[in-house]
Amino acid sequence: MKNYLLNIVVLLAICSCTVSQPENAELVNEQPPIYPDYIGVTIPVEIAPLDFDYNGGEFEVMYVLAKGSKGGELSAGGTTIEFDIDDWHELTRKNQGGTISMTVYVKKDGKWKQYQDFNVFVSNYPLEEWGLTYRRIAPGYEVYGKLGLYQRDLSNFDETPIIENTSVAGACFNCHTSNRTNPDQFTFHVRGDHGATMVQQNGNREWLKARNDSLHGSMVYPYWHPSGKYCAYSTNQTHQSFHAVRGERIEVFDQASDVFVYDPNTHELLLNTLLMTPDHYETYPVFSPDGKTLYFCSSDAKPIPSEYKEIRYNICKIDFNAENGTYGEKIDTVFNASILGKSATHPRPSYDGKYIMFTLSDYGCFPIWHNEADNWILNLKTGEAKPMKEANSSQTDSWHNWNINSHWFVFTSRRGNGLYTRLYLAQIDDHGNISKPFLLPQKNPAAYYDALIDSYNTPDFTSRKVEFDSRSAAHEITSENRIPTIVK
Amino acid sequence: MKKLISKYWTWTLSILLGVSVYLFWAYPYKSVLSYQEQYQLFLFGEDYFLERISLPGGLADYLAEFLTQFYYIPVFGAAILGVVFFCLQRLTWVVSRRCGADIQWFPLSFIPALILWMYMGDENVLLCFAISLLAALEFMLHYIIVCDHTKGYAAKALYILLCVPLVYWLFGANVLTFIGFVAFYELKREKSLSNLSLTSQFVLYTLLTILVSSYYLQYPLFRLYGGINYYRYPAYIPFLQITTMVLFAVFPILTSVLPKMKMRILEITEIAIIAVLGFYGVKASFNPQKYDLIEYDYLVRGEQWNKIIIKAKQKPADTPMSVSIVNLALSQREELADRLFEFYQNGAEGLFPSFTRDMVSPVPTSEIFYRLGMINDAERYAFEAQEAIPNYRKSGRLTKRIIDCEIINGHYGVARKHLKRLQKSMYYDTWAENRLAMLKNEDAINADPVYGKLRAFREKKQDFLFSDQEMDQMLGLLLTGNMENKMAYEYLICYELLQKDLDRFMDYYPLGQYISYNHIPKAIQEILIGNWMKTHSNPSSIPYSVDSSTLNATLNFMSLYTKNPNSPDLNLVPYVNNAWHYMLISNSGMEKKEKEKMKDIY
Repeated sequence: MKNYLLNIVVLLAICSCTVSQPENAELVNEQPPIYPDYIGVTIPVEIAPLDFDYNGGEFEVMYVLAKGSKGGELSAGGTTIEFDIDDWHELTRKNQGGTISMTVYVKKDGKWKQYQDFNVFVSNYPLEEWGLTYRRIAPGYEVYGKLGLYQRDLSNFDETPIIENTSVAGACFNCHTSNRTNPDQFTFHVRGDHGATMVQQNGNREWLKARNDSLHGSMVYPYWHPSGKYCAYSTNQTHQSFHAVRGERIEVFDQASDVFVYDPNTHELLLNTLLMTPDHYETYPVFSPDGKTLYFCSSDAKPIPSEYKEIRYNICKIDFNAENGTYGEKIDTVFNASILGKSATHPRPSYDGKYIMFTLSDYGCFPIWHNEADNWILNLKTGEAKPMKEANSSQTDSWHNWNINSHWFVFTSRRGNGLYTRLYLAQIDDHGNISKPFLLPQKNPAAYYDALIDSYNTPDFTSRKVEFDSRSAAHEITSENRIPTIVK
Repeated sequence: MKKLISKYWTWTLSILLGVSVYLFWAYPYKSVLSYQEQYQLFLFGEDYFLERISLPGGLADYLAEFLTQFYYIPVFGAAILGVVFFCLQRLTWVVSRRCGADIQWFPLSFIPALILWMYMGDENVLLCFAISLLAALEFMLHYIIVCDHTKGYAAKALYILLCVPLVYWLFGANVLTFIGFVAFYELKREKSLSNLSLTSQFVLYTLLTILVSSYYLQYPLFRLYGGINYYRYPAYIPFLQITTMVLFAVFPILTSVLPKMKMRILEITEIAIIAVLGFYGVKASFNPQKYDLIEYDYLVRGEQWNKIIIKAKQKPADTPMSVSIVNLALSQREELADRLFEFYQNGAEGLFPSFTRDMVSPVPTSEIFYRLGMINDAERYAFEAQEAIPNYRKSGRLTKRIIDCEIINGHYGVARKHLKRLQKSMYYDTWAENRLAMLKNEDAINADPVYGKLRAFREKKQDFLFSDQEMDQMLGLLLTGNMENKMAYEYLICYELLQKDLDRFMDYYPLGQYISYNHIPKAIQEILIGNWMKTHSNPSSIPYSVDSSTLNATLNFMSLYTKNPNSPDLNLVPYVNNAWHYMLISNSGMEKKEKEKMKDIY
């Protein structure tokens, strides 16, 4: 408390004067300790400014000079680095395909130190997205407090709620999924007393009955068919239990799960026995970019919880005919993780058809609580799969999605402190080279992320701001009017 | 003195109210203050202020939380409430007086405050409601002043135009109390059509202001009209809140129309009636069972184990939560296996109550797991309790416990994150500073008497998934992991006894030889004696080290029970306290604890 007041006084004193570029600073032969670690990252043009904080202990003030390799420069100073948004955008535009060199000066004990310059690479690949959508929720167990689906403008720091559970007491929203980042079509699931699956198409909302007697559970883990005519879901009987040892927290497992396709125009469920086998758990369905293949994860159905550590998922596929909504007659394995003694989940095909990104963990269907979970990439042309070493960390790296041109991806990682998932973005070039990921930029990032007691879940790109009438939606959720789904 | 009281009798009565409120919360109900404090975490800082002020009623909420943090020290909390009630009553009277109420009716001005006091018998009523009522009264007073000092409609219309959005945004739905008063005030003042029209417009303007805000806020309309932060549960607005709001709005007008009478006896009668009704009304509105649990939790928070046992002796604990707290207290005094059956037992629930999705019962259960060394479960219960706080607030007490668990588990990044938040609090900042200094210093953590002990106790090697049907196996693993964990042994043995599983009891009780006992605990002795006598006739051949008084008491029980199992004497002391009474007569523990269902996610 006393320190807090003292900090305010110091802050006010510092803010009352502007910081100019120091002269005769002592050169330090190391790179600056900054948070977030933006050293050597690759960013898209017009991303929000990479504001950062000094992470090297007590200091008085800092100053940063950002110089573009193709021209332009920008400076900022203070106790936290905040670049002017417009100037920053201008600098990134000027330096597309080049670098921005950052010179960091820090004043400690009355003396200025100048650290080694570091580079930020400005990619040639445009982001082509307005921003991100995600859920924010405390990384808890069974009970959930305040949560919501949010969207974030990636060119600045603006975050706005799509819907929060303050609008409907006790509701839980998850798995917001748009069609190829286009928010004209999206779906999410509502848990709680007013459970439903919401499907919005061109501004029209439909609330589907959460459950259908032909399914094991409700409709979760959605993925749109590129034509927009269908949406694949899994239906899962998902449970969780809790570990005793210090390194583990929660174990989430399915005790039954199947995959099916939903036709939003007829409210029909397109079921297939190959995707609903009693001796396998099928989950995480996704369509290929051409819409002719349905990928999904499949594991032998072993007793739960006694053999939960033996559950290992492979990535499989089945043909899908969008003309008449029929499936092929055989299942093929695309990536056999169980042979490696691992479990592959959450496949996401790149929209250019080149890759499938997935998460590999030791076992199970829910890698989010597995420290060893890493993201992998499968080259569909060569069949080669490899860990995304450049983007992975020693902590959980999981839920990911591609941007529309498939040169950027967003994923969640617990690398910050081991528990709270944060969003990271990284680039993949034409040759499959992956850049060092960067933490989702925030203004005053250290304070922001310290104060944020939510985790980010299920991020995805969105090509423009999601239009969603949350007020009407809240009424509709509580109204209990639900459209039943029917089995075709 | 008499003269003084006679001259300042109104002030005397008001102060008396404040003092009564203070005494009420400082003594019999101080546990409620702790309860209120532990379900919020006021933080100094711009972000926290902006988060509060971004919603209607935000300033009242912010001020209320600021004040509620002082409940950490009950006398401060009680004093704050005393002052709040004093101000509420005085302001009620000042507004009534300005409306024309006669001094004769002064005692009636206590009614709204007393009704609020009764309403606050519901532990989910937040101080924010009282603060916003104070604000509403203040704005009522200023409205009268504006009316008294100006002519025509312009000034008061301007006042309403400006104040309605201001009061709504800063103090919330009590803007309806304010505008309700304005409507009654105007109707009493002037019954012309034009005034009626203007008043209707005032009311409509207020209703529309709230309605418009609903387009920008993710809250249901009924909560905006009923107040977002007046009541902890968001699902409904209590009827008594609406009654209180209406009362504060109409009371000044009602008293102003009462006749003027110069009768001393009337004042005395009013005082007597209000005092008596107030006393019984407040008494009736505080549910003793509910407050019993709150007090038990308060005593756990303060580690007042003796007081818990004394409380249970005076009035038996009979809910899963209170029984588990009494057993926890016994274990902390290392008396659980000795005195288990001195107190009412309701089966294994009395050791580990089933998880419920609320903010209250998981708190002491978390305490049990923590002290046993089941750190992950202690953290889970603390986290769940915090997430279950219906108005989405955080808790200083629970955050501390989460940090404790993270430190013990060596998750310093997470601990640091929470500690940085606590640094911004009034009463947890010093603790947070100390813990921050301790992070990453393994020697300091291991040397800490609590952290070091619990690190030694916690499960280190053999992972298992929590199952409340297999508590004995989990306790067994804890115990075999560290034979100094006496609490784990006592909980293990008592778990089997409360489950009436004597086979497992006989398997496990010998582990007691590795525990630092100077005697076989009494409950164990009783079972051993009874078991022995089932197959032997000579008590002197008992191979266990039992004391003579326990031996005689158990033999007497067996003898009486054998003669007449339905003897009413068996339900009297000392027989009722014998372990065999629980085994043979009590219905508790007949149905073994149901397995906790796995947690559904979808």
